Amino acid sequence: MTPGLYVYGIVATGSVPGPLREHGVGDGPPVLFDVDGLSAIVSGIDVSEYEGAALERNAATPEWLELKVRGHEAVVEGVLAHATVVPMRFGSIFSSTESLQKMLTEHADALREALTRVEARTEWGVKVHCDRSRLVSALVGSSPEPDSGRGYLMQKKARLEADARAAEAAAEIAAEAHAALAAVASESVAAPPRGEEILNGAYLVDEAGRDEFMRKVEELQRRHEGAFAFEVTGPWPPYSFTSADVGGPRP
Amino acid sequence: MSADLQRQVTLLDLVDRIVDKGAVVRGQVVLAVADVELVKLDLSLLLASVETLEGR
Repeated sequence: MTPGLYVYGIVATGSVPGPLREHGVGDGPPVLFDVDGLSAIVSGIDVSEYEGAALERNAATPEWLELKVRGHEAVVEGVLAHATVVPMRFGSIFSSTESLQKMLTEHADALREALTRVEARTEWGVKVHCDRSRLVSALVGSSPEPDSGRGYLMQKKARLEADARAAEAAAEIAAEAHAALAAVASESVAAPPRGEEILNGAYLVDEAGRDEFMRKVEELQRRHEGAFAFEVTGPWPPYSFTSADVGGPRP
Repeated sequence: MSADLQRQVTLLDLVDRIVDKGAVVRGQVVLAVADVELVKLDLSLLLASVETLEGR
């Protein structure tokens, strides 16, 4: 067993009321490690679980992954309910209190700046899924049943043309939706969409602006009913808006 | 959050957020400071693992 310190996130010292209750990835609830006005939310762990071959084995075990990932998230969300938090990426581990202390001291300015940026704001995820065959049908429009060979060919041609236009039409709607949501958010970022997604956006939204943001999502959904499905998740800790600031270039 | 939008967060949503995003205190520096290699998980490997879990 190699002891290590798993860090979930950073808060301003004194901003979290009372002891932490969620268990996280360790055996007991995490504790706060204070350095000059910043506190790291920390659990003691066995590092060997997160290294090399053991990690590969664990990560390929869905139960292990789910337990740890949900543990990480439960702690951060428990804190988020009361305080502003800069969430760390899953698996941020330090070998000793000295190394953690050194990190907090060296990055104090960046961490404080990140805390200020995300204060009273939460992250919302919006994914837009596209049902391509419904989109193509909508682009073709309502055409009469083909009653002849020629009618059939014309309909087939129209469908091929619509199919070619579909990707462009979907991209336009994704761009429009992202711009509309970004306009009611303080910051926004679009990650590469996967599968049938055409938008995988993250939005940092003022607490005071949450209703406006939700109304905008609902309005977009109504306008694009049919081929497009809007999926909202949140409120999230500001994972998507703290990597650049504190992290600098990604490793 | 309006009721019709609220739902259980899936493991996929979570993995997507916390494995690939969140603060990284300059990877190299942390390595030097912490002497412990940060978890470097391959997102595609994890997604396969998530699919196994959700598909059963």
